[in-house]
Amino acid sequence: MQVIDWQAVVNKHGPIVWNTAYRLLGNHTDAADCFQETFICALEVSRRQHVRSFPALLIRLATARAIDRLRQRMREPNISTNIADCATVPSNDVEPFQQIQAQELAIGLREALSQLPPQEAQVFCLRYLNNMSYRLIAKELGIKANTAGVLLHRARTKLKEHLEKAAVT
Amino acid sequence: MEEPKDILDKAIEALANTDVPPGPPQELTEATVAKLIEAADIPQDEFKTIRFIDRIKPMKGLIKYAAAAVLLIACGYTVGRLSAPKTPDIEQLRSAIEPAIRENVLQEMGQYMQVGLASGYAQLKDELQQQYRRDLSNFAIQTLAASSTVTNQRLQELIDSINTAQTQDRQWFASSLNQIEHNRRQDKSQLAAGLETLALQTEDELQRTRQDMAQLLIYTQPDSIGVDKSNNLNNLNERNK
Repeated sequence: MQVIDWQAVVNKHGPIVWNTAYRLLGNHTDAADCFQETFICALEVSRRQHVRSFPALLIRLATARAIDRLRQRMREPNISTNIADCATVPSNDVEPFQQIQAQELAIGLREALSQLPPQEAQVFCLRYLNNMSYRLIAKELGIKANTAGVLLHRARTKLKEHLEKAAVT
Repeated sequence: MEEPKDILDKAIEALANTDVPPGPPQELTEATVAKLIEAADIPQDEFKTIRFIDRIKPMKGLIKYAAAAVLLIACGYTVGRLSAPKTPDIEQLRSAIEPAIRENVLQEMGQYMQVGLASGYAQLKDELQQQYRRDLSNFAIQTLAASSTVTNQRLQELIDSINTAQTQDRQWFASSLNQIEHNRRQDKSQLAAGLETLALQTEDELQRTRQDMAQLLIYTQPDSIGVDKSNNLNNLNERNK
């Protein structure tokens, strides 16, 4: 069995998991829950198989948990989807209007991601938000690189349609 | 020439550049580690022991070299101590170099203090500027959001009131049209009744006149009246001549 120093793992890879979760969820509470769930999942994965690369595994798990949480948030109509923390909007050189526009685009993209099939959403996030290569994405998700490309293309098409529709309405 | 970005690229850029607060918080890290240890069902002490042993294991090969290095250093230190010249007169040496050292130390202290004060001032200024910009930006964002919300509410109220007024106008107009139609029908029926009455009366009058005319035609006059009538006719002829 693989012996893992979880404290060292959390200290070393915690920031990247935090960034991934916070960027997708946009608020502190959900990001904290997602952070804990990610490491618990990583523990379960490490019991089943030997973990070669913790960063890739943790990023994949954090992305999957964050997307699940986004979908859950969209299913519950009472919870507002726009619950970004006000403390997280510093701007030194960006106009407030541009910042609001960027926030609206980010919120729209989160909504659109929550409506995609989970695998497409994962591939999209890993590629564009975490800059992972097709080969690495395919390896982490257990699929072929060509399949990852197809999923990414589908995700892009659906997201674009969703965003354009949202922009028109 | 750079191709214009579509909405998806803009959204990706916005989401990727989302400002993430530095983290994770220390409490969250500690809580996560505690949960992991609990989930792994390993006590904390055992966990630490395993970790220490685990760290020691790959270093086994290095321990020999470390021991050899320590021995070499100890030997070198001993040889150096034994072969070192006698120590000079400390008091003489101190009196010789103390003023120069003091002067140098004072100069360096002064320079350090000046540099520290200057950098502190610049840093404080920068922090204040950044804080001010951040506050101003937050205030502008909140004001914009609040004003847009209020404007939307007012517009919605205006639309509602216009709709209500239009509905009332339509209802009033429809009731007026109904009233006019009702009056028209009533007038028409009254007019028809009046015309019928008039026609009946006229017919009666015509009947009566016809009867009078018939009676007048069949009426026979006396002879005296006939002589007078012929006289009158003669007089009339003479007058005409």
